Amino acid sequence: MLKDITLGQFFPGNSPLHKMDPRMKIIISAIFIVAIFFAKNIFSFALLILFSLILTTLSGIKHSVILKGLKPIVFIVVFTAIINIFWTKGETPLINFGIIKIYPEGIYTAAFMIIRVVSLVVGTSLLLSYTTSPIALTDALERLMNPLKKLKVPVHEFAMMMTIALRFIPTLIEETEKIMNAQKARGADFESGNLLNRLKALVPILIPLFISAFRRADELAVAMECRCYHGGDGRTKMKILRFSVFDFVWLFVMLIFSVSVFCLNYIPTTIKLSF
Amino acid sequence: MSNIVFENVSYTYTEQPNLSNIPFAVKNINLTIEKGSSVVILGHNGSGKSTLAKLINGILLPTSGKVTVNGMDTSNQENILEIRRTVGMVFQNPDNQIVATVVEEDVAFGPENLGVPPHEIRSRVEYALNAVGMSEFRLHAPHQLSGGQKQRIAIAGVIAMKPQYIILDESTAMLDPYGRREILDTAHSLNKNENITTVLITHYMEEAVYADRVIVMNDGSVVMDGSPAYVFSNVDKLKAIGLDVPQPTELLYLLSKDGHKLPAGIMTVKDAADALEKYLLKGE
Amino acid sequence: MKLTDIRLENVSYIYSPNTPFQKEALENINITFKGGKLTGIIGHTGSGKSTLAQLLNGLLKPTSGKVYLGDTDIWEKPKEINKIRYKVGLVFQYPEYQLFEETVYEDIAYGPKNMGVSGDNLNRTVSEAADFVGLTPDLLKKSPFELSGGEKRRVALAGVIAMEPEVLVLDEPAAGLDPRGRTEILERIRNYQKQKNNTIILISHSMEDISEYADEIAVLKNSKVLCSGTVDTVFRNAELIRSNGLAIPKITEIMLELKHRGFPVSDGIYTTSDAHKEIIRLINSYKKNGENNA
Repeated sequence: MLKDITLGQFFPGNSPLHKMDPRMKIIISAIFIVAIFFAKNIFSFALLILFSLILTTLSGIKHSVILKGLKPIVFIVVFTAIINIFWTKGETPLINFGIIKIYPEGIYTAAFMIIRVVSLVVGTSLLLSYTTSPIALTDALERLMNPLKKLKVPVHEFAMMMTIALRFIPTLIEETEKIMNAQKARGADFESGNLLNRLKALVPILIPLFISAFRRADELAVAMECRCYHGGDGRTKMKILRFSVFDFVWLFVMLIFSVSVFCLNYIPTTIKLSF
Repeated sequence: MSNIVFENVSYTYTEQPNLSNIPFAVKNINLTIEKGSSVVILGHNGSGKSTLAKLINGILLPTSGKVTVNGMDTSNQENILEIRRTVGMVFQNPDNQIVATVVEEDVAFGPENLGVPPHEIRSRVEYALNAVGMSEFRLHAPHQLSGGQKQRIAIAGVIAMKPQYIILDESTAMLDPYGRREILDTAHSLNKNENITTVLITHYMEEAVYADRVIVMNDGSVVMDGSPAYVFSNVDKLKAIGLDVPQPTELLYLLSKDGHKLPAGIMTVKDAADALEKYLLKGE
Repeated sequence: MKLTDIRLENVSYIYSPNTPFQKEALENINITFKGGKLTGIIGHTGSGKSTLAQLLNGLLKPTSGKVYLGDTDIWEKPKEINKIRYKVGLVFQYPEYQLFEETVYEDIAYGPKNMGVSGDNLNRTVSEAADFVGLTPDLLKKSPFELSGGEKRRVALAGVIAMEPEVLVLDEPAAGLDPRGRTEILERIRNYQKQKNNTIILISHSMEDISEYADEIAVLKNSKVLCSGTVDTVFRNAELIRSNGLAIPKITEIMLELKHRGFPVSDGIYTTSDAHKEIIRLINSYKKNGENNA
């Protein structure tokens, strides 16, 4: 059933990645992203691959899951790779078919680009999605952005909205299913006809869905007030997040990793890249 | 003064309360709900019973008159947090009162709002989940639970604020018989074991049977107020305002209308069988 | 109007087969809902009642087995399943949440319009349906969102009745209504059935309602039919129903209790008025005995 689909694909577990403080995961992801864009030569890219593989192994997430997660980006990756292969100019063409000339530089650029995108997606989804529940992530974001409250950024309100949205996604999906079935029982047809007809067929679903969403919002607001909700002022949290030694080890490893990526760029190689 | 007091309370949803002939949702209510009791408020839709509930914790403020909780006036804005902590509310639709995506986080929501220190929230959550018998579900997602279980979580969320009163505003209306039983048993045990005053608002007559006191509302007014046995001995009056009576009550009522001397106000199967047995054996 | 049976033959239904969420909702169901009768289906949440309802009008397709409407297998021509949905009207639980049109009239007309009904015919069927559920003509021009909860429920019901189905399936039509609203909607359904002589299937949690309104009963438990037949035959098995954790009407409980205590009470009493008559009979016979002994 639709409602069994979870958002963000969280796989509960007990790996070192799961145990990391969610705030540290956000920090580490940020460093990782920066490191990826610093990588410029074959050695730094090799380190990138190695690091992604280590993360994958430590997470305990099945390889098939990770490969599935890459599916949505396959098209973009292949497309940009092809463009890079054909359009990158170098000195001596590897293959020469008259107009079409493929240079080794093109192939390297395409390969590095693939590594970049794939390790970006694998790294961040391992850290932020597969091993972190959406609620922990929201909570961590709220805490990390807490200093911004001084600048009148509505950090708490934003986090509350995220939490409520996450809470109601399954409820609304279930409701959509119900309304669709009810209209189908009255002869609604969502599958045939041209685009305009199909859009028109959505009206009997969207109107009841919106009305119900507003009713829910109304009732939820009253229920929250009854439970003494009055914004973020004076609010405490049941969960205490404390960085462990372990988290700082991670941070240390991550910093070494990015410095290494940076330094490896200075090892001279014969392969030249066009970026 | 530990009780809830209504003094001459009227409330209208119309925005121009100065016009004459405006419809009042409740009018001239005088009522005291004593601490420790279990009260059921009966009435059909539009009788004013839910308005009454919302007046207790200041979600609605009286158009005229005064509502006090343990001596605190609900219309005084300074009291409102303390009143809402003291009087917990559980509503009809279980889906629309759960805020968090994990059961224990939802139960913690109230105490978090009150600024309770983290370690104490933890122990309150454990205590509250235990009180409603849902401890093993503490890490579940709410949408995976049944209606009755969701309502028990909502009750736990209220208990974690350590209230003295819990108002269940038609909290059983959307549940199946099994879920209804779960909620009634939970409310009953909170009243007996935790000494929490429970106010159950419903239109299911059977839910009134085990209360200390039944208040019947019609057209914005209290029309009957007394023990369940007293209220259910007035079958004609209940029927006249569109309410049912439990089948055992109805059977004995029909028989006594035929001139058979059977006790009025019997509500359960066992009592009805006892009374009939006695009557038959007497052979009058 | 002809009487249409609806029959399930070896029907099983599995949700999300071959996934970790796989769940068998119905197991090898064989049952006939008789034409022109009001059959009540009762069972706990999760017993498969709602799945059954959706199988009857082809919203779900059986994982195995056949559903027959009269003599036709409803899945014979899968592309024409909409025609079956017109013949077997299905009213969902809390159907008021499906209203969307600007006026009550338009909302009731949505189904018939999808079927291609128009002009005078549409007018007739809409006002007839509105009449069946007790909506006065002045309400037809109003927005459905201005109505009370009970009225909205009846608009949704009219929206299905207006399609003039041969079989009407109702999933908990009285859920959440107060006693007055309950009686009103159930009486309306009964009158509709009497006038149209339709086949009606009423799903409910309330044994009291079912025993009051149904001709036949099917009791579902754990995806299977526990027992079925006329109300009389089913309530003769009151002990079986009770031992399976389902409630029986309070009145039947009183009668069973008296029987246990040695009183010669007849079986199969399930309404207050029947119990009333039975007790009077008993009182009179005891009186006679008393006189004879004296």
